Amino acid sequence: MEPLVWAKKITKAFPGTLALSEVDFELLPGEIHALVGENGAGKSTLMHILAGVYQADRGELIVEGRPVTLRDPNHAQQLGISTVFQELALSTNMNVAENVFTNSQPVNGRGMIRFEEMYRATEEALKIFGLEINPRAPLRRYSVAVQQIVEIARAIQRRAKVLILDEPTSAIGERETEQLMKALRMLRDQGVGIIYVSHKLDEVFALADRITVLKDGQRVGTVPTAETNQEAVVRMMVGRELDQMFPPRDGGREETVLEIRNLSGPGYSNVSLNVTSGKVLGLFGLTGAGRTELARGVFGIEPCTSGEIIIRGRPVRITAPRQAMKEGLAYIPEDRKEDGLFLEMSLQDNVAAACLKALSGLIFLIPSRLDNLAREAIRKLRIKSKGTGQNVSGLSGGNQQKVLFAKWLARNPKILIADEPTRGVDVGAKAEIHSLLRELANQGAAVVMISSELPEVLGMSDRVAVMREGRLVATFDCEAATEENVATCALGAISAEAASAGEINNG
Amino acid sequence: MVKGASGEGQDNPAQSGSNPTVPGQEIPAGRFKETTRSVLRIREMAMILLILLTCAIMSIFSPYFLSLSNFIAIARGFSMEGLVVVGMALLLISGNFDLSVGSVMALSGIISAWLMVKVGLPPALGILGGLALGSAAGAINGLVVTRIKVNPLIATLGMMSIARGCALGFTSGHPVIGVPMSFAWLGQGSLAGVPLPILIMIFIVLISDILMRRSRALRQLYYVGGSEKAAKLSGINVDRVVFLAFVASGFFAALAGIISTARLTSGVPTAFVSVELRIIAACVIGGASLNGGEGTVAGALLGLIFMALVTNALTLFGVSIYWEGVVTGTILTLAVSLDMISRRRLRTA
Repeated sequence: MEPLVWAKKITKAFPGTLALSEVDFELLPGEIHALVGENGAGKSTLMHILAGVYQADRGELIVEGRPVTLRDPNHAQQLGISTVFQELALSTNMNVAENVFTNSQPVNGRGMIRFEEMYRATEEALKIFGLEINPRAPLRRYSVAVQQIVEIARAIQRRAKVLILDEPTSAIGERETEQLMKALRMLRDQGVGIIYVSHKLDEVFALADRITVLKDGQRVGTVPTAETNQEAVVRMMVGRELDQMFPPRDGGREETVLEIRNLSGPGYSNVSLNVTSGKVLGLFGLTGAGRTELARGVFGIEPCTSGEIIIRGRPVRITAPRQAMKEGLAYIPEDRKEDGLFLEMSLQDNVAAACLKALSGLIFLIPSRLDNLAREAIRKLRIKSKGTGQNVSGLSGGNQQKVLFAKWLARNPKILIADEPTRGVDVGAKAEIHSLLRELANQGAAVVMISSELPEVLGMSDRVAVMREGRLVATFDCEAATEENVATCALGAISAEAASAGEINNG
Repeated sequence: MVKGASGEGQDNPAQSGSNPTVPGQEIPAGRFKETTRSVLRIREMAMILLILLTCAIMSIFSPYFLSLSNFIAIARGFSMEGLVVVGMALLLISGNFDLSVGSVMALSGIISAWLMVKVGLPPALGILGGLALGSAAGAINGLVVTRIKVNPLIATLGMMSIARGCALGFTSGHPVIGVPMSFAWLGQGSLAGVPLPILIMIFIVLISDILMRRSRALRQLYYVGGSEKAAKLSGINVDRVVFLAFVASGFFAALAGIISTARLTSGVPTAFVSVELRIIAACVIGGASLNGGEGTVAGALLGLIFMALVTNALTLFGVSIYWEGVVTGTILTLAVSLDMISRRRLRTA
């Protein structure tokens, strides 16, 4: 059978990273082909290339036997490849039918839309998915699940031969997932080829005919679902040597300084966790598992809705970052440029931002204190800059991250939460940030490191906590934390083996 | 005054060049070049050069320009707006702005005059009443923006209409006349030959410029304007900072309105229409940005001085005042365009 889409030796590089390296992928008609891998494995890049968003640097793309270069998503659509991205591209203030027939409404001779025909066709198109909703109603009245199906219906209506779905169930519930799966199976039986990008292995195994596993931008293998199991796929996803050096662990004084009890808020629920001074706690999970949300809740950015935060034995209420700071907390956010830095301000201003009080007298800021702080930061953290007056927008990613660290270290935090502290920084700066975190722990601070990079979590942490879908699913001591155990918990494929290795508190 | 204030502006970028004890990571080569470049990059310096240039050209073409009386006349002309510029600069730096200043000026002046003329309060209490009203208007703007999260454009547009409506409705459109002479002195008197409004403006601009550069409380405005999210995450009480900036804007608008009323010896409900746009233009010409995080009080005042000079030039050359808008509009667009172009060059360099 001729493949619908055949990608041969696709290579794609972004500044600083090789996202895909000679990856092969083929999709047959009437097949659901799942694409799995860790964060950063390259599945999203491959998907974007097949959808026409990115162009491959090298390699060949063959669609129904003809070599093509996809110029843009529109071109891909003309060739019958439709993609439903995670961020839905819908106009929710318009009605359901207009969303199904965006830009392809049936018209009469004078160019006027034939509404009745459009509504009828919409009803029919949605019936395939077992969905009976009013095509005249504005789409915003319906749930995200319905909207997701509407977007898929739009792809079908365009007579897509290839349907690419990016984490289609990330925003919808269990019942709707069932419905969606039923519809996808029906499409498959009609000969449509479906690429299903997901990190939920349960779904992948329930749905896919074949699974392709990517890791570090390379294809590990493609296996028929019937001939494998979840553990084997997880092994394919994570199996890798630890090729990085991490600073040695030598714990400082141990004491529980931060206790979280049954904490719930937007994106996480019922999380209980102890954080110990002198230790690095790694908080692992997939993107969207609720780690960042939990940290932001503890730091008071989006305050938690229920539960207790206990700092050094005393229950505290934290509803704003400045209250958290008073309790000795510091939070280095995931989105450095958006949440962390004042890009158009000087290095000195940035470093001073969190401790203006200590740097000023009754009314005035004291220039010598500001200057000393900034110079000290440059020296201690080895920030490469043109001086304390340089705008941080001109620094490299690693040096920007160091500026952010300097800002918080100036406060001598007792509890430091670093969210993806090494994302987008080069290898050298990464190692420096690792030793910095370790040094802080050795000096008696409690360090929480949120990371999606498994080797980093395993290399750095004294203890590993794993979150999945808003819940804390397991904590491991560093001896028990192996790649397989941790990844299995994060992906939700818990086996008896892994459960016995760690302390599983699956709620 | 102006030069002294802008001298302090050099302080920050020049630090890397002037201090001999630089740590190893810094690049000592080309320090002099770096320093001169950073001085030129300071908006105030460019503005002062531009103003001097304008003065030079004016003095060649008009014999009346280079006289103390003309300078005092110009300064008296912008001294009231100079106060409003202070409040607006604070807001723009924090990433907000206030369209209601012109209306608040008119309303506060009227209320002050009314308290003195109709209620018979002594001038001091009349002035306090007007200031309280202006601050209250600013506080309402601040609350609507920070608590309800209404866009400042809409919030202050509403206040602009409400304050103007109050001023007109309260007086049925007629000026409030007959203020006491002791009150009129505030706008008409002078000390050592310098009109009082000019002295008040110099005092307030000087104080607020120093506080903006040096004080902890007002430096926070730059952080808030630079990145509201990052400021919040750094423990800065963003809502309070923005709220207080709105109150300050209302307060300074009221002060300007009251002094104007004293100078004219009457509260005029139709006065100060579209002052807000002139003020915002002055701030932006002087280096502030609608995106926030940039600008200084001194720069904003220099922008206002420049605009006043241009108006004066038109008058001296006998050009109808109706053409003024064309000139200020051109200057505004030109100033910001040049800024954008130089920035793009800087980034690609």
